[in-house]
Amino acid sequence: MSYISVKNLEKEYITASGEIVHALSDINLEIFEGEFVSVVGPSGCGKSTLLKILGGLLTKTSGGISLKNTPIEGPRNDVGIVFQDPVLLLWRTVLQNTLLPSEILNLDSNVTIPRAKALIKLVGLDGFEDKYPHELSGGMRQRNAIIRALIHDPSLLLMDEPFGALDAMTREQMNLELQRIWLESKKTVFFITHSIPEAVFLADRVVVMTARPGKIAEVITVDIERPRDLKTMGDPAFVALSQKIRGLLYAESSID
Amino acid sequence: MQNKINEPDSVKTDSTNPSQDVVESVKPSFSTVLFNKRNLWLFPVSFIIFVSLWEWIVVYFDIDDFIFPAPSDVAEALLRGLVFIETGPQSGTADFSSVMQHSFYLHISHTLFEAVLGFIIGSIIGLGLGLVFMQSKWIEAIIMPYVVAFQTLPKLAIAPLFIIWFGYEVESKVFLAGLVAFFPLLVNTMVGLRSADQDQLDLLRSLSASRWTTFRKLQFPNALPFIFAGLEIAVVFSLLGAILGEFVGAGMCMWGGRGQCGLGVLLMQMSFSADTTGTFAVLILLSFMGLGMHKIVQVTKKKILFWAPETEQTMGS
Repeated sequence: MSYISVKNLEKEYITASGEIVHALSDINLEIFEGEFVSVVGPSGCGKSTLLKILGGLLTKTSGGISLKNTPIEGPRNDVGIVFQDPVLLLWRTVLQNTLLPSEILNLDSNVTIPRAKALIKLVGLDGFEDKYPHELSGGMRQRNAIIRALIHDPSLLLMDEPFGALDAMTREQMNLELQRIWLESKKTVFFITHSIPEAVFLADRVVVMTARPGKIAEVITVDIERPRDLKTMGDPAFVALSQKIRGLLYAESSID
Repeated sequence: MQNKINEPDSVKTDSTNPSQDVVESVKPSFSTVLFNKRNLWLFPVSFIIFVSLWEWIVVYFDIDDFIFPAPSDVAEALLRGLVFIETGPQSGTADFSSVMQHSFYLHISHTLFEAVLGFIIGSIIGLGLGLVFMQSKWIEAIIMPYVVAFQTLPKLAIAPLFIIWFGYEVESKVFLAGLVAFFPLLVNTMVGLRSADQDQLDLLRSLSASRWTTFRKLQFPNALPFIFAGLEIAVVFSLLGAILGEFVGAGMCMWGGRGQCGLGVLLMQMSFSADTTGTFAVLILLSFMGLGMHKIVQVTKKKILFWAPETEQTMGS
């Protein structure tokens, strides 16, 4: 039984100049509970659009999309979103930012405050609970954003290039950390990235998309044991998968 | 080439003279200190030079103080106004040497009262309308054109109307000060409330946050740097508005004084009696009042908006 089911999904935009843009075309995808799915694809392939439809922030044009057999028609409270930008509220401390979703959802603070503190500890931000975003490094801010997406214990985590703005070393660190968090929490993760190694490193399956119109080229299963570490990236299986994905991406883009 | 020449040189001084380096780091030379602390002395020194030059020019070319007073005369007029001993006008004699019936304080308190009250009223209305406009595109579309049209009118042209509507007394000045303070608040509140970025809005929307929650948790705090930028402008404008009102129609003294009060009134009286020196003294007072009021807003802003990056605070101004 699949957790998320996407069938023949289509999304069209009408631009300001009246042009019709086919953002997503005939998307079919099944995601299982607790699965980590990465999505790679060139800019404009509609991967962010797909993420927003999953989060209920955009509506589909046609086709079916459902979560636990319920059609997704609008925002739902059991989804956590992480953007490329940490989008922390500057006037809130690490603890307050972490608690934001639980405040909006009116959750019992007797439960959420200890939970927030545990999450802060989980990502190594302990000691920084009362610091404001301007006092944190880029990596710390993004950690804060990730645990904010986890505070209300959502079953689905949507991540839109969460590490895109970080430097290479911090990024690898965050990959390891995200894997650790995922192994502990077993959330279903829909993870968008531009980095092929990152996609392979984190995912159970990698969805390769192509642009104009946004389509799924292939879904590749990553059969590498967990937990993976930085040495995994040198693993022949890892390299072969990365090459395969690169091949798929370049084959399509060279047609342009 | 240049590197080759420079490098051994710098290495040489470093290696042969390490003691000098240590001495330098412990006790930097006088010129270094002077350079590093230039923010402290540059203004006072240049100010003294500027004032001395001014004094010298006035004395050397024997310029009439009716045309351009010497700084020493201005300082004296300022001091006289501040330590004024209230004797009242000599009965029956027209005293043209000084048009002042009161010390500066009574005038300052009048103008300050008008400006501050106007600032508070104008800011509250501007902020309030900004909040209301953002709730409904309809209200905004209907009312905004009037507001913009009203704003483009020169305030000098409106001032006489305010005198007709609200009288010569303090009300017309307060309302004029409020009017000029109103617009920066209205515009900055509206811009500020729109400044939340799409990701932030999406984040709250993904949690099905209500409009009120979105406003309370995101849009309003996000607008605060803009609102404070508006307040900084408004506080200076409100002083101008009060002075403008006093120019157009002098009001009687409140708080037991005789005659007419307000720094704008005083400026008018001085200009009628060709008291240029006094005018300069009042202008200096006014600029200090403006600076002081601005500083109070700025300090409050820094206290409340400690979290905002500096660039964001200056936006919308």
